Amino acid sequence: MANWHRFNGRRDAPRESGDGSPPNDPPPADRYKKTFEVRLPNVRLWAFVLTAAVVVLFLILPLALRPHRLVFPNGQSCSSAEARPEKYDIRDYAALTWNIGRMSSAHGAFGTDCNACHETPFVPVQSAQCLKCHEGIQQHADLRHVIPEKLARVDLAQQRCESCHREHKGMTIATRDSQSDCVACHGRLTDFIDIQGYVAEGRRPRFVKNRTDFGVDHDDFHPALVQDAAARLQVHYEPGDQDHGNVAFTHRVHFFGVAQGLKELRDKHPEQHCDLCHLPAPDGAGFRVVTYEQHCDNCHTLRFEPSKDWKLPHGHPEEIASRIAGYYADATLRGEDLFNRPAKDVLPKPGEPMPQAKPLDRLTAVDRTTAAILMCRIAPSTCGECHVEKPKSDQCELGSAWEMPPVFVPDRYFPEANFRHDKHATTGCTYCHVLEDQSDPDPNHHHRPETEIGLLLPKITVCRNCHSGQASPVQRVASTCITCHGFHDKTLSPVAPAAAASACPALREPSAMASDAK
Amino acid sequence: MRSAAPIAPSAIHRSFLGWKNGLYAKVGLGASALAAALYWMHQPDGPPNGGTLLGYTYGTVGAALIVWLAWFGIRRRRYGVPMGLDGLLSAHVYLGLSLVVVATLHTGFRFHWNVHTLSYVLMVAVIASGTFGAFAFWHYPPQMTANRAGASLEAMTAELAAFDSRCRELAPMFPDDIKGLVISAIDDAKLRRSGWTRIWRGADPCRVATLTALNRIREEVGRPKGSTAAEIVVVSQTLTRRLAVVEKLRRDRAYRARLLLWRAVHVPLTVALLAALAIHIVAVFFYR
Repeated sequence: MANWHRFNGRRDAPRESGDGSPPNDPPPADRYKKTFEVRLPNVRLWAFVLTAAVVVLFLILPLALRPHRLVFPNGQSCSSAEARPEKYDIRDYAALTWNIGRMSSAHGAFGTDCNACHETPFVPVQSAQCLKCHEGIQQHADLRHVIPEKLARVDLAQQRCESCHREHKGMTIATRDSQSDCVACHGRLTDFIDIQGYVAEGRRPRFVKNRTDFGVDHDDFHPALVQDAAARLQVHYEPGDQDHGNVAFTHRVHFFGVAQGLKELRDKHPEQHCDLCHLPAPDGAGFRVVTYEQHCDNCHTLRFEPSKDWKLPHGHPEEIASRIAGYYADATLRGEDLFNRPAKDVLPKPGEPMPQAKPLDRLTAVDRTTAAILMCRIAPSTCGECHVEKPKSDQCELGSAWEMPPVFVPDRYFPEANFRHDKHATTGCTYCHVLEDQSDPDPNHHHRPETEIGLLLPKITVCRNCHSGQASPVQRVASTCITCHGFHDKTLSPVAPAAAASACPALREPSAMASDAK
Repeated sequence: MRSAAPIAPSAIHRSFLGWKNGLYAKVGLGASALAAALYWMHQPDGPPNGGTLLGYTYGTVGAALIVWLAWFGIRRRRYGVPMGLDGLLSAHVYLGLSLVVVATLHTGFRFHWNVHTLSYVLMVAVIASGTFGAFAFWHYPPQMTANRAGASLEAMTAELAAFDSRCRELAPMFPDDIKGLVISAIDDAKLRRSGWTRIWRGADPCRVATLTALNRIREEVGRPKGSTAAEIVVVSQTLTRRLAVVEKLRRDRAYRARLLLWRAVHVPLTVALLAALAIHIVAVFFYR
């Protein structure tokens, strides 16, 4: 053995001790066994190190380093911007290790301040937290008509926002688009609503029906026709109803009738029939209001016949009367013999010449002529061409001025539907708004004839050409309830009670805003 | 450093993979297929994620599987496993593989830089290392047996020691240069090579030294030297057979390393995974 060590070149003498080896080296066979053995790293040590790293980095740090408490107008303070950090630091990164997914863009402003919404650990986010900012959000249903036992399900103050709106699911806040929740109530709505009370309020019980799917049992559309133009009141169509917007306009006359001027315009712009009057509104959803000055004045000029240069102002009846009277008074004063005849009650005796009218008679004649022209010529023929109402009195007297009934052409005839024209522009206008020639009526057409209600509005079958309900989307756009309908009803009261409203003066109470709007 | 005894894999080698006609392979495959089919049929509100009803189901099943699979590390050390260690290992392997499907569906394919994805990555690493282990136990033992050719590790090291002492007896009889070469060739320091030098330094020093010695000896064999003619032939043969045994031992060591070292990844990562999983669950319910 000593001999071997001499030639080993590394160790000249056997070791006594020191590294735990025995004074004499083990026999070569055992030494070789050690040389060729496989050593497993210290598994327990590595397990401990890795686990400790995970616990420190992902449990202790996120809990110990609370991220920045941001200042937001959710009941804490209104003076924002002072505590907003420019960059993430370690506290933010520690918080982000627990973030389950990207926040929506709007709530991204909360950054890593988890406590802005998650108030109490292990307790789901409460709606009260949401309502601190979203205080104006409205109820879904008019709670006065809900049967008391069902109130807990309908009253949004007793529901969680999160049951429909999911955060941490990407750039847009995920809203439930399944209609199962809608159908849970609307499938048996008659169990939820006190119909007697509903009807007693003078409302038509149309919406109190059990409905489950757009493609299956959705009613045909009931456009909201104008019932009272002065009050801007729209009421949903029932058979026999007519629109009372007080404009005697029909598309039929302008397309197939005697409207020669429009025909010339149409021939000039063969592809732009609708665009001649209906110009898209800036938001793209609807159209600009059609005005007399822009769209009717070309053909329906308010000319005053004695002179071609005289045009009467649209929309100002008193001004019209005064202008006509002024014209004749002026002519009379200038000595033009327009009214050189006596008043109606001064008749010549038989055999005598017609007595000359006195100046006073002449002025009376001006009044009377003005009244006659207003009442019997301009009003019925010129104004009455478009404005439907008749004058209150059929006497041609100036005192009984013709009262113009107010005109109301609403923006939307389907106010419950979130329809956007710009998103449907590819189909073209006439896909939905068809003006059939009366000579060729199609009994199965999908469109409501203009003669029925005075408007060119589609029936539900037009929509169903492309949209199905959620149930059977075969080569159709699967459309759930909220594809067209909003959930929070803007006409109803807010969910948040006034007490829960924010202390921030910048956020005003919805009721105050509503009264301002009026 | 804790040295592990050499594994004698014949007990569980291969038998666990086809235990009871691959019963657990079928169970795992069926569970994966069921999970995938449910995922395909499920139409959640918004993107699929671990927070839907089905997502919670996947998560609960997955967490239970992880805990049960980790429990195998303790269970396998005890006697009296009802289904036998083969059956338990078979279930461990196949249900562990199906865990990949269940956990991936639990994520809803949403991955971010957070503790939740960390748990998933750790789980995948554990399963990958375990898969290599299962492959190693299936693939290497036959090669290992063929390499040993019936000899035990003790017999081989004893043979190596015998060759050494034979060479050491004969070496002093030769001229100094040959003596030095022979002693250099049997230097056991040339056998101890770390994994890193094996890759980095290239040629095997033991093999190089032995071949150098043999080349020098071969020159000497032809010369009439009288007294040492027979010994030099013996030394030549001894060195040649010694090199063969060394290479056999080297291969044997490599096989044993492959059968053993994956556990150095599998076990620590499993413990870290259990911690990350617990934090994942706490975090998800802490901020609900």
